[in-house]
Amino acid sequence: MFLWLMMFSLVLPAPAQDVGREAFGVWLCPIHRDEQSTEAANCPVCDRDMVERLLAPSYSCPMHQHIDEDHEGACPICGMNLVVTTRELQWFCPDAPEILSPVPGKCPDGVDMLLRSIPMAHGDHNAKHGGILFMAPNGYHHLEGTLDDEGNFRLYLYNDFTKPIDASPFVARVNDRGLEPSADGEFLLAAVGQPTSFPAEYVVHLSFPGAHEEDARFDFIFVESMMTGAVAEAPEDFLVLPEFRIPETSDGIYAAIKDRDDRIKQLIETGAWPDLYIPALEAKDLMLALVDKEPDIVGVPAKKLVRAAWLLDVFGDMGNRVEIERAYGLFAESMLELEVARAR
Amino acid sequence: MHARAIAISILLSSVAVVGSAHETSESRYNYRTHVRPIFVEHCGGCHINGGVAPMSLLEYAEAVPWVNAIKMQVLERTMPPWLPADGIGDFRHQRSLSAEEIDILVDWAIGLTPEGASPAPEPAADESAAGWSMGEPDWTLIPDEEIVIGEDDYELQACRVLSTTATESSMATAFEVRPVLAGLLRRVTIRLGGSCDVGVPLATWLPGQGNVALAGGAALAIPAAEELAVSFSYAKSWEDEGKRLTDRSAVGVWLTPTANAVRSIEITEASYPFTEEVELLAFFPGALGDDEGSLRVDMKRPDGTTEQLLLIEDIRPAWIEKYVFAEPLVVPSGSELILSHPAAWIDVRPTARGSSAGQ
Ligand code: HEC
Ligand SMILES: [Zn+2]
Ligand SMILES: [Zn+2]
Repeated sequence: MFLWLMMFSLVLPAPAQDVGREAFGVWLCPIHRDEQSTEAANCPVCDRDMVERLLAPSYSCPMHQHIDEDHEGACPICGMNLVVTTRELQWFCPDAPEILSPVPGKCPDGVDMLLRSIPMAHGDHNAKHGGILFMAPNGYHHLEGTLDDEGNFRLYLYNDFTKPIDASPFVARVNDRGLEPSADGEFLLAAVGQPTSFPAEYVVHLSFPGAHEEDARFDFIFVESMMTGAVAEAPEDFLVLPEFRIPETSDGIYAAIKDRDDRIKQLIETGAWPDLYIPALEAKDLMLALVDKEPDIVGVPAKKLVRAAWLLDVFGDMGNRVEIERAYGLFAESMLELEVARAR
Repeated sequence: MHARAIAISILLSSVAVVGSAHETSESRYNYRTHVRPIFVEHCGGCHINGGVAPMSLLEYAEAVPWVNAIKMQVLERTMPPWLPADGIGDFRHQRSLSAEEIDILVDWAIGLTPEGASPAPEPAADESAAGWSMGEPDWTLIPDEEIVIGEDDYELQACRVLSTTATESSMATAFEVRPVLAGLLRRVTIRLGGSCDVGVPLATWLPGQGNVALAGGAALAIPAAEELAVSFSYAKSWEDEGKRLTDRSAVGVWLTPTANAVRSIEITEASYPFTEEVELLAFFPGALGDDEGSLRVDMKRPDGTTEQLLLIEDIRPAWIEKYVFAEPLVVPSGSELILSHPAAWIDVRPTARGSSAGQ
């Protein structure tokens, strides 16, 4: 389940304290952390005051990550459009850095605590160079591929905070052509030539420095040359999903799962890997709701569907076509089993 | 819990409209409340200090470095090790996770692995200190000669023939192994007679498993003065590399004075016809390599209908065991067993109908 903390902002009023931006809080018991509340409360188990963790959307520049604005706009340094990321807000004491708080307060020396926002790991999955960004299987590295008008394929490497890292220790091939590090290590480069047509597919095999991990495969599908271009995306109307509710009846839930199956198929056809998680995880949540209603009937196909949905999420983020298709094969099998089980 | 899940789900879709950023945030499941109980139930028999698996999952600090592997092993169905396909056949000692358990583990692993803070768990017991699961067995058989896993051995299979010293025939209802080298002992196969390769396979035992018994109190006959050939499989982890280790793990056998004996039948062809009505109790696959595709066992009834009894899509020989049906399966006379691999043993017991018809 992703981004759910963030989503409270859509339905709940911002917390009382004024942080000068649209922030939203989640209250947790310091002891019983599964007790959560969307407003200040006492823990239902131990009656302790719950503590708040504050998150906020932050508009930042793809090239200048310290830019942290509360609204859309252009980067004051380079003029690029800002993109939305998530940051955690914290109050701190300038003279006692170990004292942190999610709520405003006074420092030991009597001065008011100051507010700052700090980046979160995986708080930013925006491409920095107009290309396509994927997360590596190790859950730490991120990489971005771009294709320019001269037919140069570039690969940029990032850490878990999407901060650029030295690309030179990485060894990679694109469509079986080796990539060479740029002199400053900013990216790896291969002249692949202009594609004869779009969408154009590039398969990257990447080895990580240290070689403790297996090579990873990433499938980049460009709908036009990047730097100026666009990422393969689902058709516009496709992402504007009907409001997601779990239907009341078993038949309604089943129909909704079939609808998600169709969406997954279409997204795979378009190569819109990063969007796969939306219908996949919805299908999974629908499936779990159906298990509650018909445990004896759908319990077995549900196991496969839940696995397949998470695999689509995992491999969708990594952009590996072979794995995505294998995961979808599993998903399709579970759909078939589900149909057979419910027909009985 | 439920209301929350729905609320979250409604919200999730709104993101898609806003933009398709896919950031990670903290899971609503935490280790103490949701995850550890699953580890205890499904993984703790092996993933415990001193256990056969490379790490314990029963302490937060030990489990967390493994989250990426946990996520992938659970999603690929390689852990917990259980080869039969879900939904085909219903077996005892099944090691498999429900859809909700899979979801909790993966959501937690992806969602920043919160620890939670419900009361501290009891300290995990050391596997090797555990006693017998059903009190003292009737026979406790220990190899006379210890098994040596040498400095250069990484994996080792050792056969020991244990004599029962019983002067009359006995009926065994359950088997269990009490490991000494619990960190290395991966599997034990107990056969009747003096050879670990042929002979009736009475039971297989895997770590974390208590006793192994057939359904319905059925018993396997052990003739007077017969021996048991026990095959012990070991694998070293990196911690034990280069060490010389010795083992004398004990095999426990529980007996019953009264039971109708099970007949064990060796099958060497791709089909086996039943000429009387029987109850099918267990299936033991013959030797299988890991490049042999899938294993499939079907039963064709005289009315022409076919039932799948067992399907193993991905054969991993190290985890093959004797598959014991949760309930005895009635096989009408005239049925036929169809096997993808013509090598197996089955345990059957004539039904009242079958035995009277046969006389
Ligand atoms: C019957 C024993 C057993 C059970 C039950 C079991 N495991 Fe394992 N596990 C092992 C063994 C043995 C290994 C070592 C790898 C091997 O040889 O297969 C292992 C390896 C692993 C690994 C991989 C470590 C690596 O090297 O990457 C993970 C992750 C894992 N287990 C997770 C789990 C989880 C999660 C569960 C429960 C849901 C579980 N296991 C249940 C025996 C078990
Ligand atoms: Zn800028
Ligand atoms: Zn990320």
